[in-house]
Amino acid sequence: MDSGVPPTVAIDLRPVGTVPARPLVEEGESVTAGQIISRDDETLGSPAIASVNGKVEEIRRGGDSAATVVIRSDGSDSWKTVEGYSADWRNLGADTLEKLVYLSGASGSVAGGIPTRFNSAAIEPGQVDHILLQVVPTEVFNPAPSALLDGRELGAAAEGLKILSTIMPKAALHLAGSRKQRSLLLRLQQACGRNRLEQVFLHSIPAKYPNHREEVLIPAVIGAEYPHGYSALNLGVLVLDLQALLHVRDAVVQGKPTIERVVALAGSGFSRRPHLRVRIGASLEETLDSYLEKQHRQRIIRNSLLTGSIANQEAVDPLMATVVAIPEDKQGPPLAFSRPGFRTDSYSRTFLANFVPFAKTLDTNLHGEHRPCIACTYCDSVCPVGILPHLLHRYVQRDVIDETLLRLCIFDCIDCNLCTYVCTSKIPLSQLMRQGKERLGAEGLDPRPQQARSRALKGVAPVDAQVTEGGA
Amino acid sequence: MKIAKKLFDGLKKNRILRPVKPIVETLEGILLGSPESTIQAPHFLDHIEIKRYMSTVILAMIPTTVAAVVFFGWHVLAMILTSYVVGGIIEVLFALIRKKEIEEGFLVTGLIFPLILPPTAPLWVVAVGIAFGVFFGKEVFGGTGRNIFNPALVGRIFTTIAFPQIMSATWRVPFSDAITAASPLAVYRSTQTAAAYIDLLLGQVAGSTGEVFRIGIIAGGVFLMMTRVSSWRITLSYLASVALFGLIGHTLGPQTFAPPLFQLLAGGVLFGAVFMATDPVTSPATRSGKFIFGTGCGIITVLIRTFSGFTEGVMFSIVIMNAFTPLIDNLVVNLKYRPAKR
Repeated sequence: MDSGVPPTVAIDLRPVGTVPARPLVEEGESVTAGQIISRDDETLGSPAIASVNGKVEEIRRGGDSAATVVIRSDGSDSWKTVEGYSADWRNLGADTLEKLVYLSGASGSVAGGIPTRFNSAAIEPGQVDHILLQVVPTEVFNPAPSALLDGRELGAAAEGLKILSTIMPKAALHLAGSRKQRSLLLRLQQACGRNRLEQVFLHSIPAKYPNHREEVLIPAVIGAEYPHGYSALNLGVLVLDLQALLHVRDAVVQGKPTIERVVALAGSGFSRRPHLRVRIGASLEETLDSYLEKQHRQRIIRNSLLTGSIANQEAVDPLMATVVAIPEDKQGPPLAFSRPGFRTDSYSRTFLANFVPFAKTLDTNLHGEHRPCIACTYCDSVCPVGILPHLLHRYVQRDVIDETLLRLCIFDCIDCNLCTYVCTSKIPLSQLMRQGKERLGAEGLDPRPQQARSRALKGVAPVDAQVTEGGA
Repeated sequence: MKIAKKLFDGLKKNRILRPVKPIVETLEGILLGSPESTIQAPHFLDHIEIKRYMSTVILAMIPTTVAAVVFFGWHVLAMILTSYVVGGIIEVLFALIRKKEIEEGFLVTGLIFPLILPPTAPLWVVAVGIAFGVFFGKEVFGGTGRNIFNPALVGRIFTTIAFPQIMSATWRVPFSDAITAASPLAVYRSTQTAAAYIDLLLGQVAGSTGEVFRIGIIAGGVFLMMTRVSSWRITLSYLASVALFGLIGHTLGPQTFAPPLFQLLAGGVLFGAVFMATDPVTSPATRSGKFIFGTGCGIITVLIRTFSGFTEGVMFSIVIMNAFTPLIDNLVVNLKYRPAKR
């Protein structure tokens, strides 16, 4: 469903390190959808693109040298094709394709960026060894691949992979999905064959949170140990989702700039839950207003119930895939602990919901009081990286910040928040472990830079002379 | 609902009630549920809470509790009430001193304790025992989650040593008023005859109030393991090691060791393995540690039963292994996370 052209959009220009974001437009200037409003090839990142036709109303400057360009739309829904676009895309060279991917803004639709020679990611396109398209439905709510394709054939995704493999000629192609998505992946593999991509590897990944996270996905698919604290790109792996791939494809095949996202609405806070096609920079509050359930105050969450941030005041950004709304401040029913619980989700099997197929309810209530840890070890059993949150949190709580935490592999933690979710005593375990990591870092005990050097990661500062003999 | 919420908000602000604020908050938590919300990711939390966790244990103990009342009469109910009232007072006092909410772990301790006493235990013994157990077994360590020993067992051991006559020589067979000094284990020791297995399963033998109805205990144990509230690793390794060690012993010295199935069904092994050894606070948290713990409990139980002056060794075995818990966990963790190779 198309949500139309919003009256205003706010496009964030994020600073890189201490380099201030520089807009290329001024207040009062007319812009067209697809026009580049900020670009800096010296620092890491992708250009910011105007997502509507209209006038720059305001340029807000944040305290930390960030800036936001607010554009008042004229209501028209046309867009300008990307510079250098040609209908004959199959005969374009890698140089032109890279440029299209970069100038369209599509390179910014992956968290670490899609590598191009314009410094859009930490590594160069030639350094990419694997391209991994993942469609594993692992979050509580996931956008449907069919909605992302929005009437296009699966061939469109195959075209996207063809473009990426032209830009990154060394890279092997991988498709990762759940077992239920087997037929989707097989059809995609066939479509790749029609695009003369012969070697495409299929991987079946259990549809279980947090298997989509690079830290879990890469060991499962590529077989390489993940360098904690770094991104998949440092290993030479580009991980992207279907939507990012389609942005790449549209930029090259149609010359379409990345001005909109397909966002899945999810959660009991919405009275209607379509997939919305929204312009980047549109205010969520205004866009979602007609879809929200009005009886309760709703919390709007960006992308993930388990790791996402609260986005009630936010705008649509180039990485947004899902918005979840769940009721805020809802007090549990009286005597909640003694109810059979047909709809109450739990890792323990103490509620009937574990045995009946009813939809579960979600709200922001704690569902219990803070208590001391009783070592029920639910957190240890659900931890996807196999560390012991119940033990680690005790060290942090008692201010014991030393090598013991390192030995217990605190830096393997991927902040998936599952331990906090299952905690019987409502202890914010992941938050405490995050604190532990930060404090270890402040004491100079973070071992990751050292490990990264010995593994010769890509796109990481060059190896110091004295540690070259390492390599554990 | 809203009225109740307002009432509790008013009570919490009331100046006269300030010293008993923990009680008001506990009541609110029980009646209305948690008033708090998450403030950051994860935005929703599991519905399990300590109240639910502990209630599930109590639910699992209902068959054996009801059977105890049916078998031994209303006196058992009076014992349970005494235990809850006396232990509850100590728990509330400590909650007030600490200015923290009342912790739910007591609900389980308060029920386990009368169930591991002889059915003839006078109420004052129940009161003294639970008071000692809660105070020295739990509160002096800082409350639920910080104790080293199972509080119910601390109380039981104290009463065993302080009142040996009452605690070991006054058993009763269900539905009969005759006092006997002979539990099935004691009978086996003196005459080498094992009670009928069906009588053991149905509880028609002398024993502690809650340990005799063994079908109910097995049902409760299966329920606890299914709901992930107790660890199957501890329960099953405990039972398996009693059976295995009993089998080895019985094969080598049939005169000294009781047969393994009798070892499993007689005395408090089932009750201990299902409800007491599995206490998460006082048992190891690591997976392999749980197996070591259960196995240790089993071996010590059989050893005490066979060679010591006591006919039953379950409570000692669990308390001894409780003491080893930190060591076991430490060993397992150190084996798993060796010092980094440099």
